Amino acid sequence: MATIKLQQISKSFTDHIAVAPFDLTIEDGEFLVLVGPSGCGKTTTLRILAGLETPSAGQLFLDEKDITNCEPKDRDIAMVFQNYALYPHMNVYDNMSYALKLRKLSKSQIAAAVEKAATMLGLKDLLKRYPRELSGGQQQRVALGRAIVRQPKVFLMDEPLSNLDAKLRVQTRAELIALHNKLKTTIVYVTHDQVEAMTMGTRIVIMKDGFVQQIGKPIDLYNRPVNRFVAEFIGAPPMQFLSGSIVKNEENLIFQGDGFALNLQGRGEAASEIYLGIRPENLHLCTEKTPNSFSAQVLIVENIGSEAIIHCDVGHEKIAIKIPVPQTLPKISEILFVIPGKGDLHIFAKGSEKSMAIVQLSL
Amino acid sequence: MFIPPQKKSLWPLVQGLSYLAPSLLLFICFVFYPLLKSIQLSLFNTDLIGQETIYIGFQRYIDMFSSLQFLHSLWATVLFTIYTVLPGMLIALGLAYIANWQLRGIAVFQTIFAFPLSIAVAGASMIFMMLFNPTAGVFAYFLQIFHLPAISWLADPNWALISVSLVAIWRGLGFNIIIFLGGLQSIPKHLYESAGMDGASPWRQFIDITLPLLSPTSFFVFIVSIINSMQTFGEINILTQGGPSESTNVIVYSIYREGFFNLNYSYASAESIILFFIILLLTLFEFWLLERKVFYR
Repeated sequence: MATIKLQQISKSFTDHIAVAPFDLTIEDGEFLVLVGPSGCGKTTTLRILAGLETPSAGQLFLDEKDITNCEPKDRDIAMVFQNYALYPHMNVYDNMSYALKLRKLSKSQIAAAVEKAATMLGLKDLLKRYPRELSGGQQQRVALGRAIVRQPKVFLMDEPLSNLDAKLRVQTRAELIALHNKLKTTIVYVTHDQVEAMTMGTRIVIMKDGFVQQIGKPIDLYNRPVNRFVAEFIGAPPMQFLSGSIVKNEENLIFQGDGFALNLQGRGEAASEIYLGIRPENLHLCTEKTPNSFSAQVLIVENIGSEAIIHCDVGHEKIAIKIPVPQTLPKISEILFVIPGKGDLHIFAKGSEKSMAIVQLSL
Repeated sequence: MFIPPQKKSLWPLVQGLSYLAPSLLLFICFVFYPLLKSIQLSLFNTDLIGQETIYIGFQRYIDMFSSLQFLHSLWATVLFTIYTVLPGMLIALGLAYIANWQLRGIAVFQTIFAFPLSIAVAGASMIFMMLFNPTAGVFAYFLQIFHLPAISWLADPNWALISVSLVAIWRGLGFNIIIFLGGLQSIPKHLYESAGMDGASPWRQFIDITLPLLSPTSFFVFIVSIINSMQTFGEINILTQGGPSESTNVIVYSIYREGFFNLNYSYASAESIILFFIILLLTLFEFWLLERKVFYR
């Protein structure tokens, strides 16, 4: 039962800004994901929440209580570290019970709490083992278990899956979602992986170079990115961009690209320097030239089994197209025609990179 | 799978030995030969230039253990070890702990703390001789400030061993601090962060994280300190020459005095063999005892 409020929180070091001031309220029971490329300030933000970094300015509230200058130990917040930070000289049981021992709980209370968490995480047979005797996945569970036994108000997780292999990562991702549904505790989760952010987060904060770019539900970030960075960061393969201009012709908008034009519908203004952003799954191949299509030369074909990514040249630019398989795959150097589908097309201003309008193809 | 029998070649052995030759040569000249020679000397009567005369078996050892002077030397050595090892380690650990704080200019202190390492025993002893001076010394001055009775540091049989121990502790600090500092720096920072979030105060973090993870380092420092303290010679030779009233006549000094003043080579050899076995057994015992208590990652 915890709400966290960040008020104009920022962190700057002598030579650079790690986190620019921003406001955020994390609601009780939320699974909030901080995502962005490395160096974007997401881990610093998490460490400010943990109390391991002092913010340069701003205030931090936990359930209306100002904890800005509160010691980590007095915050009732648990953290799962990227490298787990298990105590190497303690066995699993001692690792999990350490926080409870410090709280001077009785032996039976501690045993019950550890037993419960160990059962939940499938660690019951490993309690006597030392961290060095555990696999990466098991260590990760112990780190989680150590946080769970404390029944903290908030869980902080710093890229907890990044040290696991791909298969285990997908499995643990699902388990973490299930765990969150069960515990209903507020979780703040840091990752650089947009797939983790999209699948796990109830809300996502996307950051770049210390600045928060957009805060919203995963689907909103996907459908309504506020700038080109968000559009490119969320979604795999990322949104594709064609540069050109928008001409307004009575009520119709026309996108003038490099040697082709697309008729668009929707609200928008004429602009000379723009990017047209199209999701790769919203691009289709056709064999003949039709209205609104443009020609492209195939560079690479990546067949993933259920789908294929076709990388091609359009004029001076490169785009990727995602098509379902089976479909006859084009050959390298083949020239084919590409037509956008019914989905949204995003117009971003060149320079500011901000979203100007979302339009559709006029059929 | 069938592996054909290999022709036995001496070449790898010769090659290996040739790499070892320089250090083997040094070891043989300065360790193994003197050791065997000492054992031999201790079993014979010797003349004034150290030649064996009559074989006497273990008689020298029997005499030694019934000699009050030897037992006294043994006791002085034990006391000296007690006075120097643990206090020296605790002070070094405390200073290393402080030197490990992330403060501006801390490297200056780290360097200063390591300083005793670079000062020769003679120099250190001369400095302390001045500090210990009962009338003009700094220690006397402090005693006077706090209205404490004056102490004849090096001339009082009750204080001489403690005074020499102080010098030995100070001399050992540099090395111990460097080793402890290395040990402290090898403890990952995130363990402290994690313990802090678990609710551990800085003191509990020190007890629950620092000390256990420092145990291999402490173990190493402990063994080296014991061996060092049992072999301390320079300070004693310069400051007290074993006196007053034999109070600082530790075994090493006794060996020196018997061998090079009394020219009793046989007795000196027997004493050094006993010291050798004491250190050997102590080290083996420490390994046996502490290996099970020491946490190795």
